[in-house]
Amino acid sequence: MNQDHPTILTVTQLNNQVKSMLETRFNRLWIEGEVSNPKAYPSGHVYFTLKDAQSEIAAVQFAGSRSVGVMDITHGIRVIAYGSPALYLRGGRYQFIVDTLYPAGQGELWLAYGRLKKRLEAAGLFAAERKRAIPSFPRRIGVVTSESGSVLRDIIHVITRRAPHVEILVRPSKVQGEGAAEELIGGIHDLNRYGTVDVIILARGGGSLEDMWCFNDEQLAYAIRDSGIPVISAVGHETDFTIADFVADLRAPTPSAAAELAVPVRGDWLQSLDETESQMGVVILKTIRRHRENLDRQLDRYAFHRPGVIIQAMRAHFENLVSRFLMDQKSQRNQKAALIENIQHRLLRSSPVNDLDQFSARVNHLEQRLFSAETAVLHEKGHRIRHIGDILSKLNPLNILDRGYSIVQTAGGMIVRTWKDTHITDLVSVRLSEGKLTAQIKEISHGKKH
Amino acid sequence: MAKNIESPQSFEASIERLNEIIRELEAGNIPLDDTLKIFEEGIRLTDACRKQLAEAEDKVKTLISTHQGFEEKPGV
Repeated sequence: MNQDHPTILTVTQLNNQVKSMLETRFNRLWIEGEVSNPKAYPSGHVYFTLKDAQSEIAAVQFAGSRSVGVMDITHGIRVIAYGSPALYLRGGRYQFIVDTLYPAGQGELWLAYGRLKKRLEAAGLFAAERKRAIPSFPRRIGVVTSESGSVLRDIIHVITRRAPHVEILVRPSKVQGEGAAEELIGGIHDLNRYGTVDVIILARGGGSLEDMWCFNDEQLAYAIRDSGIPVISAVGHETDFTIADFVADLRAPTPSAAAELAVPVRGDWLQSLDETESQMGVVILKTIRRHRENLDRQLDRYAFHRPGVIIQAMRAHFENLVSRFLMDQKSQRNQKAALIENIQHRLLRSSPVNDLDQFSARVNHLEQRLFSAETAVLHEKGHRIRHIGDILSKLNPLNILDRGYSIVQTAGGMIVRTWKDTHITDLVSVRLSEGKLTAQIKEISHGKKH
Repeated sequence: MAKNIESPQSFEASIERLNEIIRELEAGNIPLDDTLKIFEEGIRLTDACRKQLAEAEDKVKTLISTHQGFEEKPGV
């Protein structure tokens, strides 16, 4: 190769040689710079420029490459990029292919984070199969977080709104700075030793990587794993992931979301209980009505012929039946009366629960039944006794008189059932629904029993 | 786990039993006195469940650890 006989390269050859040199010599390195004019494409690739005071380089982060601790590649942020430069033959330009992007100044922290994550993952701490189920009906929620600040306020607010029946036990802890990790660990230990809570929320608001660093603690990770009580983590914003989040049984994107995930909506349960009760009420009223109708039918069929015996038997039977339901022992009676009054009270409430249309419909339906003639007695005070009284009154022979029948008795007071019970010229008394007659037998015919 | 007398398990078990009761009642092939007994059980269960949904009075408490052990203090 000399001036007289120069080696002439094609453009491609030159670019190829530079490319080879560049990519061999500068494979995998760290550069720090400021992001300028980022452009995100629908494909997920992000193109931007990395620059410092004197120079700049085109950079690209392809979709699927990792970004740790950098939420968005935005103009002006300082980053540390791990990757390699690459030359594109066609344009002869080179650019930096970003493998992982870290916030500037925190590269070391993120490296440590990456190593810890890898180690814990290998130790099985993140495995889905070791995670505990979050209870569906917790009564008490333990919260490990700072006692000042909006995070605890938000959690209390959400739980109070959704589930006013659930108690909150706060175990205050530092959530950043010196000794914070130890306090968080202590919080989980304390709640486990003290018990009474069904689930633990471990929470912190958003902040810088350094602020949240205590949640990337190896001992904390093991404390979460070893907790006998399921742990929901909610650290920082939705885009922040800490080690605690990976180990927790459930990771919530925000503290408020953690509260929502932890407790069921009380209104839903109340509605479902009301519906269950209405359903039972409808069935039981139907059943009672069916049995009353049955009794009435029997009464119509037999009562006139042999009132005394039949009425005695039916009365005994029915009393026995209802007494088992309503009048066992005194204490039970009161309890039952209270229960039934309670259900009626609820059923008769005019506006039961706001915006529960379905419930209202059911109640109205039931109310109609309760107010209908057949069941009206059920909703009065002293309903039970009145109810039985009503049924028994149907069995009272005097009521039969209302229907136009009368009772004939001999002078001795014996009921005249057949022609054999009386004789010509006997005086008999005839009992009507209103008043009484005295009559004399003038004629007897030996009619057949019908 | 919770040391409440009415544990969360019992709430869930109650709900399950209530669904069973509805099925039994609606099937309608039980004698009257059994029907009434089942109905009563259902009312007792819904009441017990409601009790568990009653608003907590001292809703928020703080756990303090002392020399003697733990202590709950109302509020934050």
